[in-house]
Amino acid sequence: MPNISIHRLTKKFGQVMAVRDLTLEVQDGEFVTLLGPSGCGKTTTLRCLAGLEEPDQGEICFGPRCVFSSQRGLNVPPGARGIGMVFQNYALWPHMTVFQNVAFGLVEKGMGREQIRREVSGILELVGMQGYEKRYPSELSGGQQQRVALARVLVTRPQIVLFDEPLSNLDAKLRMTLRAELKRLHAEIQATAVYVTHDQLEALTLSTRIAVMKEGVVQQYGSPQEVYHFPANLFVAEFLGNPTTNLVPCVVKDVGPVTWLEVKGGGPSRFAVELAGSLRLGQELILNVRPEDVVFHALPHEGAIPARVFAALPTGAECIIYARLQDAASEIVLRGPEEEMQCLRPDQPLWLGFKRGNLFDPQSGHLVCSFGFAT
Amino acid sequence: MLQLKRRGARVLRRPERLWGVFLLLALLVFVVIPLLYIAVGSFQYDSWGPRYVRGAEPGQFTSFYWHRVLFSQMSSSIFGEPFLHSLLIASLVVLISIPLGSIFAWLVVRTDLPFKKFFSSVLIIPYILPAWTVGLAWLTVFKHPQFGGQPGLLFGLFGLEPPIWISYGLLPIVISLSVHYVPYTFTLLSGALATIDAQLEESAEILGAHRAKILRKITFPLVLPALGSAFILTVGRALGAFGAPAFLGLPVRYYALSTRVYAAFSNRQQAEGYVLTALLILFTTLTVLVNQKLLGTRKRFTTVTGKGGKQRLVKLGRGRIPALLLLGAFVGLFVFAPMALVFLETLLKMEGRYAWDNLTLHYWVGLGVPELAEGQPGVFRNAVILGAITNSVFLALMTALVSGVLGILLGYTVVRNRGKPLSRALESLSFVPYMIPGIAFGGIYLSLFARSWGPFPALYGTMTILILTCTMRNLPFAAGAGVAAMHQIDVALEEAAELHGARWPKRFVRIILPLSKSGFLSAFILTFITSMRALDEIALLVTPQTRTMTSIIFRFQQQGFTQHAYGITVLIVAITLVGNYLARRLGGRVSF
Repeated sequence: MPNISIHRLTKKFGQVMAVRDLTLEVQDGEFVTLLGPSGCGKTTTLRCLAGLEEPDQGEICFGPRCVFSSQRGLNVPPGARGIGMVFQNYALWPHMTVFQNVAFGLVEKGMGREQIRREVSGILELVGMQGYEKRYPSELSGGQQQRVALARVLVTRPQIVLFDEPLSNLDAKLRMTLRAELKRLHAEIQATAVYVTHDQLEALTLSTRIAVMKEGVVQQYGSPQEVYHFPANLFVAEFLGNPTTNLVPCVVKDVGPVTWLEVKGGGPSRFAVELAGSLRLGQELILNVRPEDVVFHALPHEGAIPARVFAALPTGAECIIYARLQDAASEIVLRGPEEEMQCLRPDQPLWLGFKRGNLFDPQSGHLVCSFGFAT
Repeated sequence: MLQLKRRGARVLRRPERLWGVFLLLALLVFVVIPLLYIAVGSFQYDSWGPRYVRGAEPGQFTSFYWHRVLFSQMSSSIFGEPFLHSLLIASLVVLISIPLGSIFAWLVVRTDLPFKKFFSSVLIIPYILPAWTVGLAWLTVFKHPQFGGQPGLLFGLFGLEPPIWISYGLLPIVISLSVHYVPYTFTLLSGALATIDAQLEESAEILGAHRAKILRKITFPLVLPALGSAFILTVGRALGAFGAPAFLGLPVRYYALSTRVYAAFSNRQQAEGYVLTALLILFTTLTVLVNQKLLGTRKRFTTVTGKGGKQRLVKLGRGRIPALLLLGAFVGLFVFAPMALVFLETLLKMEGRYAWDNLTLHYWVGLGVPELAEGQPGVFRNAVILGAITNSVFLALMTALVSGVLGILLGYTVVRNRGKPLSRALESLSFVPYMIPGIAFGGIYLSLFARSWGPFPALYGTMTILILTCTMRNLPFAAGAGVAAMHQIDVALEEAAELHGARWPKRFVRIILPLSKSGFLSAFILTFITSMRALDEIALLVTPQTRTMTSIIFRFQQQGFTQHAYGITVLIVAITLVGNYLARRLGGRVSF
């Protein structure tokens, strides 16, 4: 179980910088997710780790062993890196049976026939595919194909496993099931895993740490909680919305024991937050509050903003409310248990307060301070 | 140094670039250099030079031949007339085979015509047969006692003496070539028609358009690219076709450009041959380019892509019987009857006498008797013919094998290097041989490889040069099949093997090759068939040791050993049909 260290990695495709000066450390046994929109360089980074792309600059080491270094002219071929990789479209060889697919790597290693048979049936049992040895990939469902692809990777006991959006071709329900299986498998096989996805829910549920990427640069690297609750900048805050987040421009009106902010253009809509740090009077900020951190009062309330229900969307266990401030331009989304929310009707007035959230600088987009979190 | 080392390692790990460079070099040597060679050769005195011009040194620069071919008093008989004939043949063939192929395709794909399966498998046969089969059959019916001495069926049975323009020349040439090239249009258009999304036509129908209008406004524009490809294929081949004009034109001195080129080269008037070859290539290229410009498409094997929705079949109603008759008549008269007639001819002891006591198996199994065909033993007892059969089958198999592998390699290189100039260069260069008519191909390779040159030993008189010529000639089809097959293979399939440490040769053999089986097979079968019946490109290259069945047919036909010539034709037909059947069983199919 080696750790992975990526040092100042750069990869260009023609004029386009896919990965820019990326440095990242993955501890051994970790499950790290590279998360970002398409074209952010996450897949390129993964392929550089696999050795399928050759970076222009930088260094990649697995434990004490360097597999790529532009300075030393070192580039270990993919097959010699001791890694496994699961592809988005499974990449099962359609002309080989499940057994042949899984056995390929072992044959390549020169393992004896009897041992191969044992290893293959062992790993197929692990992924729940025993009894399918003689089937061809086209005779399997998407979920089964992905399980076979996993088996094919795990059978060679790689110390590092790379995942390139392995669940994105599956339907929602199957994705849930396989997510749980993947998490379980990772604990069992004890390999270091790097996982690429654009699905934030997948990243949050699976990872020990998430690296959020944009335009080839890591925006934030931290635990799912850190990334979710304390986004380093506006991009991370917005990308990890679940499903969306509130970003409201506001101005500092009063600094004292409690800080008063006013929603920009929202009329006399002031609200109070408890801040540890201090802000300048008149400073412009962008407020980020998760929908579940918005509280509402049915009657006027000290330090809460008056608003009106625009639409109520029950989703079963929860209810999502779209509320509009008095100027009708700013919209706040809130979310909560259905039994608390079901009383709300369109056009009903309500008063909104913010339990906890983050304030960003509108120019740089960086986090200025957070409020309301237990420390 | 480090840079170099890394680069070397990368090239070995991902050799598609290396292959690309290698293939590009091969194409330069076998396609570009020959073209340049013609261009240069047409401006030099050949060994005949001194006979035309006093003091001319062979090899000396001159524009004499261009002048002679284009502007001298000889011009009209060397170039003008044959050129007009070629143009006339090509235009008439296009005018007949494209509409006919289109109608057949529409009937078979889009209507409730009965026996569709039968028709769609039979309509490929004219392409599988040698182009001159219909021509030979035509001769057995309409042959004129005045030429070749023997009367045909019409004369033999009814005493009718058909006019010469029916027996030889333009009419029979056009008919046999048209029949031969109908499958181009039929196959390409069937594919296009079958993949049109039915919704496109249905939405026009819902808007109130009637059937003719839908056909004209919706269907026709959608299949236009396929028609364009069919046009290119047909015109390219018809302009340079050699076999049919040779069998049906030479006896009455009806020359086409291709037969002129043949005459020039076989008289050792190379320079004149070069000039004519250059002109032939020029016209073929121009036609193709103009067509591409007009259609605004560069896709040459295009069919309309996209998933076809469920198409409703057009009910022919009262038109069913006439449609069936039309197709039936075509298939009967131009596919089955010619085969039967050619076979019947081999059983006649004396040509033109259709009587029971004149039937014999002598020309198949008889030992030679002096009074019949100058003592030539029957086909199966004839050492020369048996040798030629071996040669032909060997040539066809080797060419098919080499083309299949080359096609897959080219496809691999083109698709994996997609977007790079290397890929584009390979793709366009591999299409160039299509513009070079077969007879010209033979002429060039004859001059180029007669002597040892560069790293190449003298290849004239070897099977290698025949295989080489046939392979290069079929390269466009092989490359097309390879590229199409490679598009179906996801890169990840190869990368997954690479991650398991499989090196390139292993990946190619275990992953790429098995997955491109269908592409390999279609390149294989198409090249097998075309090389089996190849005459154009090898007519100038065969020697007594490397004789093929086709070259013997050509020689026997000229010498008047009709039954033998026809017998070998029957064998070629049998072998290609069996080959096609086997390939279909394995999952390959003829596609252009």
